[in-house]
Amino acid sequence: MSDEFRLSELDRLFQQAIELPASGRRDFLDRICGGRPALQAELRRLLEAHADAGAFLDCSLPSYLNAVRSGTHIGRWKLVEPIGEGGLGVVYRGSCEADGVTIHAAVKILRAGFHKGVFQERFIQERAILSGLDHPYIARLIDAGADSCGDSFLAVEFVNGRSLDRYCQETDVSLPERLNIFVKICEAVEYLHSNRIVHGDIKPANVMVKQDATPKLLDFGTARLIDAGNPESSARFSRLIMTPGYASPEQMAGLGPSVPGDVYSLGCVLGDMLADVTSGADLAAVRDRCLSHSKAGRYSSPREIAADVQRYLTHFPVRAYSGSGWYVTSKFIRRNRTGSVLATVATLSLLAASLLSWYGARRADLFASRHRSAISHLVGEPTSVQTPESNQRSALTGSIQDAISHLEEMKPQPLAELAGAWRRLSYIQAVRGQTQQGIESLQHSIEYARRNFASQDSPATRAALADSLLYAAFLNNRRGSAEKAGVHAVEAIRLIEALPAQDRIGVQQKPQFLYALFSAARRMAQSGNVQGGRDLLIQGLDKSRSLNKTLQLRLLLDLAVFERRAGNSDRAESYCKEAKSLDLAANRLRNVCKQSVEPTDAGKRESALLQEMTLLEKRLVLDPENFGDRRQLARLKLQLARHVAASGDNARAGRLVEEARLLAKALIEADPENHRLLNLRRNIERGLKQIRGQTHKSPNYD
Amino acid sequence: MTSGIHYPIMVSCLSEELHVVYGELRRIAAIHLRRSAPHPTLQPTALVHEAYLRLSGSRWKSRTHCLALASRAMRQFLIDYVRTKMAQKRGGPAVHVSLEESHVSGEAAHIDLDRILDIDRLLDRLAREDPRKASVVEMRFFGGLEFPEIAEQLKVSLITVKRDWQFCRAWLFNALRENEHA
Repeated sequence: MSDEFRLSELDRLFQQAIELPASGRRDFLDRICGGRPALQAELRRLLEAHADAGAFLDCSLPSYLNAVRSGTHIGRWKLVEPIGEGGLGVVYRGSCEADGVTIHAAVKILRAGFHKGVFQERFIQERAILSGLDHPYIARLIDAGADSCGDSFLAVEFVNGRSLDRYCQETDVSLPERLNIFVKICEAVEYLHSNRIVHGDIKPANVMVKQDATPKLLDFGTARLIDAGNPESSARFSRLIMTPGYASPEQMAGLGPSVPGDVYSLGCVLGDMLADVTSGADLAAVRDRCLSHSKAGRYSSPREIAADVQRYLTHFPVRAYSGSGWYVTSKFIRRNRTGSVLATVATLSLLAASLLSWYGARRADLFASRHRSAISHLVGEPTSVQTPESNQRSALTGSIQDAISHLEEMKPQPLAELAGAWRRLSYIQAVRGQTQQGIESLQHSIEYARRNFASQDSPATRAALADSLLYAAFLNNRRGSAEKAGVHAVEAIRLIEALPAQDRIGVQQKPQFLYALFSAARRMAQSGNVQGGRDLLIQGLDKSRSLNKTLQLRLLLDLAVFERRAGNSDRAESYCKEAKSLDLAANRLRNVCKQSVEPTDAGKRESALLQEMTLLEKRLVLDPENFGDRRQLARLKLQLARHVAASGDNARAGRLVEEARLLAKALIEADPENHRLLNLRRNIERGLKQIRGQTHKSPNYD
Repeated sequence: MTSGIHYPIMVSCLSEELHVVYGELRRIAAIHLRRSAPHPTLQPTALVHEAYLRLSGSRWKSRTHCLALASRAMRQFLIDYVRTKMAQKRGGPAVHVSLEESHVSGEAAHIDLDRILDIDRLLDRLAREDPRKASVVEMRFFGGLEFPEIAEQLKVSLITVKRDWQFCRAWLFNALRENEHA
């Protein structure tokens, strides 16, 4: 080390330099190290080393030493490479040739030295537990045994993907995608609990996520049977293996794994998954309810957590969050955007999973002898090979298509099942973005449902046909075929109107029904029947008054648009007013109001910014600590300041920047090393400078 | 054996506790290495955790305290292990022991046993100027601990640990490269 500078200085400058783009580093060094060639040379070498280091030290030394074992065999498994390290031993990617097919597995080895006492007990228990499990989101046991040296091993389904934490960090995963993954994890844990098993070490590192976003729960080293086994040893063991930051307070205090403990860990996982995305106070409430210190304060099961997250995804108020009327109504607006229907469809596709097992069982009866291979594919025999390309949805699509082809062969054809199967197939296709195929499937579904309805007019057959029609209307609308959508919607609504009241209400609460209402209204208006369309909407409005407020808002806004088109601007205005009186600051409202005042572009932008700020400020009243919202508010103030400055009002811009600066300052005090905040502060300072320095010319803000 | 530089995490309690952990670690590891020959494998977390299991109930301040201690012991143990290997290498048939991280795609990272001893020495040098950074490398590279565990142990933020690690990696890489050219 040179005498001229200290390591701390080197570190500080190094950290600053690597934040810069590679092209700007030379200038930075020239500027910073003027007259200090030794420091400059050392920094340059360090930066080069940083760029050249590649995978240097990425793996810990013992893992390097472990790599020595790669290439050897255990049982029938060839150990290809180490892929991780569990609490009990090293995990390798193993491969095995069987009848010309290569099977891959994650091979976990418990080395002979550990074979005594609690470790061996746990390893045997893990094997026993895994052998009884079969769930799409849990890695399956393929093989187990021991080699001549006495090393035991478990071969588990090889999951080609990334651990949950890396998956969230390294790929651009949206909030709904994250939540869908989380819901699946909850389902896996719920499945465990329903089999009287607790996991005991749920954390992001123990969940692998495949390319298609399917999670797989791994590592059952701490799992145990509820109310069974040796509680003292499992508590002791759990203390050893448990992960601080994910283990529940009672587990940290020395009690063993439990259902509330798993719920707590799921809360930690949810918290991690939300950490780097903007999410609202309601999701934080879900997390906090999982993390309640007392067991009684938590959700009683993973299923309950999943249900609340599903509520969020479909824009219903979550149960954990007792928000104000504003909260409930804002959910209401969100529910009625296009995306919400898709979210519901995603939920519905879960139904297809149960359909799958039903058909699996039934077909296993019917076709066992003739269609051995198809059935083994469908019910997923443990020997099936997991290929990286295969994914849950395409497998499900294939299975349903399979089921359909068998159902179609049956005499007489089971019309209701066929209509249902085609409809479920279309849900999955729609979720996968295959709208055209989805529509084609629905045409089959409608045909079968129609035949079924014709052969037997009952509420069930009628509702089934309406269901397919409603969804067809929705998908056609999505593709822009408003006319077809309208035809289907009108027919569906006619069918629904003839349903007995108790069946009707259920159907009318579906989001698809709402969309159908709009499609039908539009179609009627186009064919000259404006009055009929308006009546449909008003009828919906009346229903919504007794059902819930959010529906009402959406209908009010659409009615306003309708009336404006029909030239009744007074009525449009009054609907708008009524909507406004619901005090719902959301995009939809904003757009409609904007359309009605027809402002200039600059004014539009400003009012959009102001409205968004109002929305944020309201949210902050509910949740003053919300970090993401506070940061967003500071950003908006800065944006507005720039906008205002561009139109010449420097005094107001100055005030806004100052407000932004104060907000950011408070945030930085709480979290001094947050990159995003530091960036924000830089931007604010730059904005401040620009606004102060600006007199005549318009500033260039990029 | 590494020199007796005191690291901030365990200044007061180092020698005696470390001695206990190290002894235990060596006993456990010796069994493993003998049993699994001719392909000796080492699992840091497993070793560290088993040592912890055997020692738990005694007077450790916390789990992470024990883990940090154990990663210190692991460093000493591994350095001993590497020295033994080197001695065998010189005395016995000319086997080139190259440690290759085969599962990193692209350019594979090679580390020779000689270099591990170099890293150990460089770490002592680093510790004289910035003991925290040396601890980060010790826990990460020798102990196999995760960043959050290290952050918890050193009572600094996660980002600080990551930055320290980034700096140390470049610093060590540079120093090793200079050694090679010298």
